[in-house]
Parts: sequence; C-alpha cells; structure tokens
Amino acid sequence: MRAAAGVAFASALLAGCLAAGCANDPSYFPGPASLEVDGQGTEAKQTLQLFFRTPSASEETARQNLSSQLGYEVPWLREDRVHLELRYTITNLGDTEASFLLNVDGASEFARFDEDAVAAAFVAADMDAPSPRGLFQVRPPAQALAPGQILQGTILEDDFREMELDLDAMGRWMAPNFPAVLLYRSDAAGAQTAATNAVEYAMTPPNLIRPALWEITPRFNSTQHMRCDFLVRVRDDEGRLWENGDAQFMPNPTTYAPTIVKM
Amino acid sequence: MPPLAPTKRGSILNLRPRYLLITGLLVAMGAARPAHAQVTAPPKAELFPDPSKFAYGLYTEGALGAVTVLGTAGSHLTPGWALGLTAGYDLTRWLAIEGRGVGSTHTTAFADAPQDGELLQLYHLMGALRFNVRYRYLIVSGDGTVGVVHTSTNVLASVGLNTRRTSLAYGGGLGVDYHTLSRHFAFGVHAGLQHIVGLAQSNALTTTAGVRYTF
Repeated sequence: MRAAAGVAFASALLAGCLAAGCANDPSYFPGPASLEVDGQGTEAKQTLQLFFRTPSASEETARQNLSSQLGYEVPWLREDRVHLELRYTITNLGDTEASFLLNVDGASEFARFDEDAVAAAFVAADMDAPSPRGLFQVRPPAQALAPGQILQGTILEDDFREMELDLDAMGRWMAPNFPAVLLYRSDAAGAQTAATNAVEYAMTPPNLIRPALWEITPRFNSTQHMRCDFLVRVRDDEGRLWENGDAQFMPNPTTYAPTIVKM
Repeated sequence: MPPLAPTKRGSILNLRPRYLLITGLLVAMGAARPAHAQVTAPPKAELFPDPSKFAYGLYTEGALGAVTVLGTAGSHLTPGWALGLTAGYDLTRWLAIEGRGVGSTHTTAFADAPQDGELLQLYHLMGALRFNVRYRYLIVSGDGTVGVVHTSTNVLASVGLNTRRTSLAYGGGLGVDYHTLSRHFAFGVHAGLQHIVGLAQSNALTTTAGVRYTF
C-alpha cells in the first residue's frame, strides 16, 4: 500500500507540474512579412498588433477600483502581467559586408511612439531631429555582416520593460527631454544616469504600473541588400490574449509629439 | 603302479559350491511369487518464478526516456527528454487496456529564422490496447495506440508546421518487461511510434524505460 501511495503521489505531482508548465506557455506573433531593404537607403518597417481581449465586467471594475486607489489610470495590459520579447534574424543578401540599423517603435493603450511623427514635429519646427530616434535601438555587432551571414538576436523582456516605462514617461507623464529618456536606462547605475533619470521621471508615479506594448513596429535599414525577419514572444500571466470568440481589445493611443523649444 | 586316489563322487557334500549356488537360486526363483516394481512419473520441474503468482489487474507505470520527432517537423525539433505515466488494467493475462500520458521538451532549430532556439513541449495523451506474452520473468508486449498530441506553444504554427495545436495521433509500440520476484513490480523498456496528423504529418518516436506497479 505504501508503494501504491507513492505511485499515486508521483502521478499527482507530475500532473501538477504539467499543469503549471502549461499555465504560462508563451504565444508567438510572427511579423506580417520580412523587412527587406535593397541598400539604397529606403527604410523597411512593419507594424505588428498583438491580439488581446477586452476586460470582463469584473476585471474592468477591479481595474477602475485600483485606478481610484492609486490616483491614475491603471492599464488593462499591464507590464507585470504581459511580458514581451522580440527575436530577430538578419541575413546579409548583398555581396559585400555591411552593418544595419534596427529600431523598434511601439504603442501602449495610452501612447504611441512613431519616429516619423517625431521627425515631422522637428521638421515643422525647422529643426533637426535628435538621436536616438527609436523607442529602442538594437546595437549592431562589432563586426559587419559578411555576405550570406545570418545574425540572430533578441530584444529581451527587460528591454521591453524599459521601453514601456519610457513611452509612458513621455506620453503620459510629461518627461521634459525625450532623447534623454530614450538614451538612459532607468535601471542603470551611475551618478549621471541617476541625475538624468531623476529629472526625466520626476512626474512619473513611483508606484507606476506600466502599460505593456500592444503594437510593435520594427524599422530596418542597411547600406546593403539585407533581410530582417522577426517574431514577438508574449508571456501572458492572466489569460488576456485574444482567443476565438473574445471581443478584441482595440485601444486608440495618442501619438506622442515632443514639445519642441527653439533656443 | 601306484593305487588311484579315492574320489569324492557319490556324495552331495562333494558337489562344488558353484553348483550349489546356482541350484539355490533356481529354487528360490521358482518358489517366489511374481514381483511388481513401483513405477512413478519423474517429478515435474517447478516453474520459478510462476507468472500466475504475479499480481495482475490495475497497474500504473512511470517512465523516463526520450521523444524524437521524425519527418517534416523533425528537422526543426531536437530530441527531448520525456516523462511518462500510464494507468492500465489487465483484462486477461495477455490483454490490457491503458491510458498513457507522455510529456517531452524540445528546442526548435531554425538556422535562418527567429523561431530558432525556443523551448517547446509535446504532450501525448493516448489510449492503448496492449497484448502481452508472459514467460517466467519476461513479458513481451505489443500495443496499438490512438489519442491526441498537444503542442505547448504556437511557435511551429508561426512557420506553418503545426496546423492544429491539438492533433489526432495514432501508432503502435513494442516493449519488454522484467518482472521482479515481488508480486507487484516490473521494470521494462518500451518503444512506440506515433503519427501526428497536425504536426506536418510527422512521427514521434518515444523510447522509455520504466517501472510498473500492479496493485
């Protein structure tokens, strides 16, 4: 009987492990098409919207109650519940070695960061747009890609957390100098970083629940014929991804426009 | 001429002992009643261990091994560790029904695509009909299975290899078990091949070693 109890316990343990393992399996959203550039200077970009469901009545009530409690609007898609990662593969299809530029823009349910809109705002003000321009910039490898070479890389969940904080700081919390927000990591050490972050995130609530990105726009360019394929990986802790039969969550975020002060 | 030596002829006492012995035996044989020998069958060798003394009926089995995907999807999934659990019932000494669960974990392999290097689990949930041949310590078995295989993520679907996350699967397998002297425990190895319809018509080769407990 002791052996039987052991077998039963092992079975229950295995079933529990399998259930726990299944509970947080990621979902993958491939890019709608490859980003392919011919090396003539024209950038390629694709916007990928992730599918989420709308909150139920009880979930919406809970969200509103938490918003009242914290004093600001709590997002439905929370960064601590929805974890994103972007995997990319870049192939040099040209006949000489070259590097590339890969930036990522995106949108939360409250704000959208679009490089083109930012650049347009600077053009309207008759000024050059500052760099960096993307919500996130992939650091190119030290060695240029040889002809036919394939490079694989990942924009990690931590990078997305930073993007989500930066976008919210710019879009909702009036960070005064958006290039500094984009340039400095909020979690990096160093006196200058700390001083900059203190200014840039001054209006951002310390208990901020960051809104997750639900729209991702990679932008790709190179001086050679190259192709970039990408895939977004989503870990969804609370089952907020859309499934058949759900109503789809379709927010209408405000496109971020920097405040430009002419010196 | 010297006188002849006197002979002993004419007296029974003069017969040689050899003749006396033969004569005695003949008399004894003639006087004896017919004898009957006790004839018994040679003792039958006891079968050890006796399979009929092993427990049979409800059983469970835990197994460890590997799952290797073969076919179209096979070149994009590394072989992975597998953990299996089986519950079965011996309908007779030679026929059993089983419910099997096997979970295995794999890594995707796409040299030129961002789907490379992702973890993926395959969960097999199968029903099986198992035929056993038992001889002493050994049980040789063959089985036919049908059920479903579930892929934990849609990463293969994102490259068109997985039309359905939960797919029909069927196949068969062979196994050999060694029964210990305990009534309840047996150890064995098993190999099975499942055809997974929704995984680009690929096959999954499951090889496991396990221990079975029969209640």
